[in-house]
Amino acid sequence: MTQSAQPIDVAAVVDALHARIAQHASTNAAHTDTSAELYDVYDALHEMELTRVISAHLPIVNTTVGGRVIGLLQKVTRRLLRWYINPIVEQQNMYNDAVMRTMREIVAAYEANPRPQPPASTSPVPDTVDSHNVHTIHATLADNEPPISAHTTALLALETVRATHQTVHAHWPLPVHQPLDHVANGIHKLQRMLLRWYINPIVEQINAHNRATQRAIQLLIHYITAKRLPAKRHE
Amino acid sequence: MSSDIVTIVSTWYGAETAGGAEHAARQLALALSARGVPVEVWSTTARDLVAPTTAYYPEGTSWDAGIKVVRYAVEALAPDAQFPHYVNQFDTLMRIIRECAPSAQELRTVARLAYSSDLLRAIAQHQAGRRFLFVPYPLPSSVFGSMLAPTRSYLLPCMHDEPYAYHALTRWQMRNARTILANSASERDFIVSQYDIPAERVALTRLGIELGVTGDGARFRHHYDIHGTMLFFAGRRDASKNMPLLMLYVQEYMIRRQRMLTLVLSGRDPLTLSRYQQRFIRDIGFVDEQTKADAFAACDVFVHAGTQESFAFVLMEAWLQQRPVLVNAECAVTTAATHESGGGLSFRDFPSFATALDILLATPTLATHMGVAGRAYVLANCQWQDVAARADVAIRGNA
Repeated sequence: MTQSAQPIDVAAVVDALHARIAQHASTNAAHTDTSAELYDVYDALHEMELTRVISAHLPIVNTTVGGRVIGLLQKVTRRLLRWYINPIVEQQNMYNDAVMRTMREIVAAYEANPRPQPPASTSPVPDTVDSHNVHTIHATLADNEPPISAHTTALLALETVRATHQTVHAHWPLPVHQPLDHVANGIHKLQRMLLRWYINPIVEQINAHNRATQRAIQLLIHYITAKRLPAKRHE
Repeated sequence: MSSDIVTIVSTWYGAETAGGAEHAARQLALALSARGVPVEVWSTTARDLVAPTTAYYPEGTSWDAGIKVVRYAVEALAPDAQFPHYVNQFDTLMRIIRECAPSAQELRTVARLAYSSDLLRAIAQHQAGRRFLFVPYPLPSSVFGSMLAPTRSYLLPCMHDEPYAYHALTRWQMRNARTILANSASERDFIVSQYDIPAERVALTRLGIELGVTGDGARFRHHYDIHGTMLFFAGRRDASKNMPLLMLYVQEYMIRRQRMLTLVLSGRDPLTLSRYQQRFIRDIGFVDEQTKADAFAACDVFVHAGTQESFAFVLMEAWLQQRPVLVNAECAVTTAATHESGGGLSFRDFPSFATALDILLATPTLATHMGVAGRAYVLANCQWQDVAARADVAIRGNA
């Protein structure tokens, strides 16, 4: 559980992206070599990938006789609590995975999206469009309009995924598949009651961090997108 | 010819209640009453979906625009409920649930919807001289209410292709109701094919709108200080209406065309906008009917990205103010109405969304023509007295 209280630290990635955005904003040159900055971003993403999965089952290694006894007790304790701890860790892992994928898509979308072009001087809509031919002209124009970036669409889908997983629950219904489950559930309820002073505050901290991460990611996406909007407020 | 009281059962009901189905229930009650049909409404003390189990209206009998409304106490939902335990007090319901054998997921879903045991008990005990019209179909008052009084059950389901439509309990409800009232041909076709029931048991009664409202676009733009191109949407601002997709498409359009638009949104549900989103989205919240009509009149295009509609009042309201619409081609109901009326265009993806906007914004004459065609469609199809006449035939057999 100690490790599950260390969700992904996105600050490094966010800082790197900010640096990159600042670089873009300060130079309007047609070509800027940003490969070094991009390398830093990918490096940070790689680090995220390596640390995103939390394990509730790390090896317990002891060499001394006393240590082995303690290790055995630790294993028994872990075994007795895994019904409780593992689902919490798995929930956080799902959120971490969604954050990881989001960060990758942010970078990919930023790289894939072309720099906004000045608007064409003439409208692509022909003067001849009327109620009789509008559907044909609409279809023709649509065929020539590039689709939205797959990365941009993925970011939209991931917003929902992150929202679904951002809250970790420490209290879920205990399933009953067979009569003996009632006995097990009774024991589990007692365990949960005895340990909630310990587990619930940890889960609350995780959730506070997840909420903050969720908000930071959303605002980061908005910030990056805002840079591509026209400066002029209205026509 | 029947002299039974048409008793409309709607979990949420009232002049201050938001929601398309609830609005339909109230307007139909008024129209039936105006036709001389004896009408009562049975509802709960909660207001609407925004606060589904919070008591808002007083319990007991009250009068709304001359119609008797009986409200029963809405009950709090048990957190993590796996089963709607309140059905245990009705043997009939337990038997039908055993027959239907719904999945655990389905029962969990139903258990987390607003209900009133008192309302169900009233349906079970006071059926004589009544014909119940349940609105809409997925809420416990409709699902279990129709099971408690199947021979007196009529449904205004307001249905579309969604998970609730595939519930085993819904199948029983649809197959056992006396008559189902459909808001559109697309909804009727879906119901007939989904539940394999005879087409004559589904009456195409449609819905109406208030036709006497005239919007003042200039007044709206002045009041809200809106300049330039304005897109408008009214309704829930959440995923059920595809709002994230609409925001994404509008944003992408502005980037590609390097042209700022203002997307005006109206609705009761809370909407948190970032500083960035406030650059192009304007939330006017839940407004009165006149202000909403003004907003329709003020917009260049009414955009509706939702795919789960059985009627879409807002589309008709936009057309009433002679504005063109842009709807999601994935929604059979709005797309059919748009094509039938000639009142706008539909989009399937971003390219068709962007180019439809190009056309509607670049050719004001065509946009106006579409708006006029839409208005003609509304005037021909959405008169409440016609809807009430069709519903009266469907429910009481009176021509």
